[in-house]
Amino acid sequence: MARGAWLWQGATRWTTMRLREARSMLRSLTIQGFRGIDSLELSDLGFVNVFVGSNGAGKTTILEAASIVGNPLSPGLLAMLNGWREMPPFDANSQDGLQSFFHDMSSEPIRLKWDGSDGGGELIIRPRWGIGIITTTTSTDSLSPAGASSSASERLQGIDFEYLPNGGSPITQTMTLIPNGFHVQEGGTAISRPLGGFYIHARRATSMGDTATLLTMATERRTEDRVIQAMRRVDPRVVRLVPGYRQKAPIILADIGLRQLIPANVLGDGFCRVLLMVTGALLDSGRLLLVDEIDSGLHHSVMKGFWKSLLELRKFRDFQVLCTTHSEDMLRSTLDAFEDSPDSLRVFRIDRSESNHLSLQKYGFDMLRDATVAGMDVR
Amino acid sequence: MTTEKGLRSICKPVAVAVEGADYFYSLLAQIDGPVEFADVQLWDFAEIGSPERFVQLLKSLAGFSTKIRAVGLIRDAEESAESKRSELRRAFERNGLAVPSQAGVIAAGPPATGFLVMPVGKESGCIEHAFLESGACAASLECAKAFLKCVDRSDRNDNWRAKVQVHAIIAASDHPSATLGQSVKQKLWNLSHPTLGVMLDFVRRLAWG
Repeated sequence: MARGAWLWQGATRWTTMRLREARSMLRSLTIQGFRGIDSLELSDLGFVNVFVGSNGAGKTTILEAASIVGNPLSPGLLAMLNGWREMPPFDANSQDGLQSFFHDMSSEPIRLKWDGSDGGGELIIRPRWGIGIITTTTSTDSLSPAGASSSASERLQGIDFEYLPNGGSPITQTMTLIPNGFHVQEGGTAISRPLGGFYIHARRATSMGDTATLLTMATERRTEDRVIQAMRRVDPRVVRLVPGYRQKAPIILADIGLRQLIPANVLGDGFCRVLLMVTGALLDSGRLLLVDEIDSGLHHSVMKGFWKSLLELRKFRDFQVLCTTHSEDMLRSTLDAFEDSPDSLRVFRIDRSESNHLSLQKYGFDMLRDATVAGMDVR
Repeated sequence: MTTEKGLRSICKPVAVAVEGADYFYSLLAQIDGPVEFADVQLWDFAEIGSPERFVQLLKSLAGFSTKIRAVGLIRDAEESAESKRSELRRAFERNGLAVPSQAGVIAAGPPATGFLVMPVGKESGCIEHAFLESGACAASLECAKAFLKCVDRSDRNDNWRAKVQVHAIIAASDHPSATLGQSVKQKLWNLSHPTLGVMLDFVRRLAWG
């Protein structure tokens, strides 16, 4: 089975996704007609890009768009993205979830254009409409037998992906909705490697299975010390982390100087999430670390250390962070953490006007520092 | 009125930015309460030093284009009122806002803008000069002058001398450890005197167009 193929199997079960290998990073991203975003252009992306803004501004949608351009040849990724938003799975009988990717549930195509070290390109996602049969089940009360009626109407049959890599030939893939799922017809292979993405969504603390797999890779490559070093900034008691299985379930045991090792879960959701980020940044094939609500579960006192860990890990591997937060503490902590590498930080606030127009305000390190000094909340 | 100085977002349509805690709390003590100043939010640009940078940052905050209807800047004249007036005009101009023709004049916006250099009518000085000229605490003022004679040095300037006298007067009050802002709240000064009243009048005109 092709590696990309398993991505959408059991989409709702996976907390993270592992995408194809890439060498470097995203420099700009233009999003058109995607979910709640009519049009938005992100440029001058840095090593760490923090997105802030009010609820519904489109922060998570940006991460979703980045995950798609990081892996433009995997239409099935849409199912995972919907699963992480706890939206119902889509199939031939239920298209709402798929239609929700299109701005205003419209028929206008989604256009994602980017520039990056993968060469950049454009991805156009078009809805494919056709006449379908809707079967409606009715029941007037619990004692009457249910009736069923069918009607024909125009329905979303699937979507077409057109990937236009800069300097390469177009690649088209189609996703067709079928009863109980969808079918993807692959159209080719990209010459350059996609950026790849490692997505950690906000709704669940962590996935111990993914972390254990990545930690095993770290052990195999004798790089577990880097993980330990990074994790000690979050919990200085950590001496060793051991991946394994217990009762057929993956587990990570932590040595924190007690008489015996303890499950890492006991150290808290924040610890587990950081462990997933650290192992993902260091070992996953994807180069985009995409984290929704990056502050989730983190105590303010370890936030600076967490950023420092990411900066240190970059010495060993090239990756890029796109994340969201609502936390003032998390933003303040960047001022301490990025003092020696101010060019690595960007904060973007997304503002949504009453007429639904989106605008972007970018803060570099100096501007964020001055705003904080002046007592201004940039969120 | 917003009374705390933590990280704040734009929550009132009239932004008045002042230079330092003395200005901030002196004004706060006067506008916190009266309904005519309910739309005013005070800011302090002293920590970042540059009013131009402050206006740039204010413009970057969420809600600037939709909520703000007026922006005012108040600061000391220090050694040269003219250079400070130019600095404040530049703060508006370089950030693409309306530029008032002179101090105390409100330029039509949106947003409306205005600036004030204290003490008004003087070519140098600081807010403490305005407090000293307000005519309050006459007895203490004589003692403060005498105290200044004892501690004065030739390398000190007039602004330092004004601050020494103001704090000597405060030190002789019922609350000797009060800041200038706290002393305003304790009604130690004659706020209705034109030298001080000009500030409140400026804020009122900014708030009410």
